[in-house]
Amino acid sequence: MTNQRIRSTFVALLSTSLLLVVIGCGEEETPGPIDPVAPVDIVEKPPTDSTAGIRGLLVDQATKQTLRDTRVKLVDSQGEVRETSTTRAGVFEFENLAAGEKVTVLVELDGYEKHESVVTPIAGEETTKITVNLVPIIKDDALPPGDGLRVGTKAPDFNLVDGNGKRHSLANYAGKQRVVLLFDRGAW
Amino acid sequence: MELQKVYQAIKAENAELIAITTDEPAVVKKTENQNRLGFVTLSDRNRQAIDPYNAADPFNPRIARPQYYIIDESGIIQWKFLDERKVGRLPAPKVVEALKNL
Repeated sequence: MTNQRIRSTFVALLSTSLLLVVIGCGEEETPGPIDPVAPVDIVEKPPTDSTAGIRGLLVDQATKQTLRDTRVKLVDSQGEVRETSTTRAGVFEFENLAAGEKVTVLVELDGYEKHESVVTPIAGEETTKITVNLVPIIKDDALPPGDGLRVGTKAPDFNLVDGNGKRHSLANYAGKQRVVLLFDRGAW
Repeated sequence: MELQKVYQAIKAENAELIAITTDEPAVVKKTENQNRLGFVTLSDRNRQAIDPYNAADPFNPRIARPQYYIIDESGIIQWKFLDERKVGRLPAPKVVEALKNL
C-alpha cells in the first residue's frame, strides 16, 4: 500500500463525512417551516351535520331599506356572545352554531326599538335565513297614536296582498301617479 | 256607496285609490265583490302599513283609525284628512277637492 493510496482513501472518507454534515445541517434547518404545516392537516374538521349557520338581513320595518354597518349580537345557548356587523347590503352571518339549539339575535341601533329574537338554526341546512325588521322609534314631534303622519313626510312603503292574493306596494304606484291612500276599519 | 262614485273622480285626476284594512284577504274579496269597489283594497293583518303610518285605532289597535292621505309622485304626503270624531266614514268628496287644489 502506497502512501498515496492511503491519502486518497482518507480524502474520500473526509468528503463523505463532510457531505453527511451538510445533510445533517439541512435536516436541522428544514423542520422549521414544515412543522407548523403538519398539525393543520391533523386538526379535525367539525362534523357538518351538527353545525349550522344563520344568514340574516337587517331591514328598517317602515321604509324596508336594508341597514348597513350595524352591530349584530348573537347569544348562544351557553350564553356565549358573538358580534358581527352588517355588510353594505345589510347582510350579517354567524357560522359554526350548534344545530337545533336556540340562539338570540340582538340589535341595538339609535332611532330604533331594541330588537331581540330567538332563532333555531336548522341541522343539515347550509344556513338558516332570517330577516330582522327594526322598528323605528316614533320621534318626539310625532303625532299622538292613531293620528297618522304629518303632511310633508315621506310615505312609508308597504307590500300587502289584495283580495286575490296579489301583492301591491306603494312604490309600484308612487313614481308614476299620485296615490290616495285610505285607511279604514274594514268590512264595509 | 259614496266612495265608489268618488273613485271615478279620483281616476279622472290621474290618481289611484288604495284602501287598507285589517280584514283578511277573503273578507276583502267578499267586500270587493259585494260592493263592486273597483279600486284596490289591501289586507294588512299584521299592520305592516298601519303601524308605520301611525294609523292604528288607539282604542282598538286591531283596526285602523280611518284616515286619508294624498301621496305625490315622489312619495311625499301632500295632504291628509283625519276624522276628529274618530268614528264613521270619511267624507270622500273632500279628497277629490284636494286632488284638484294641490
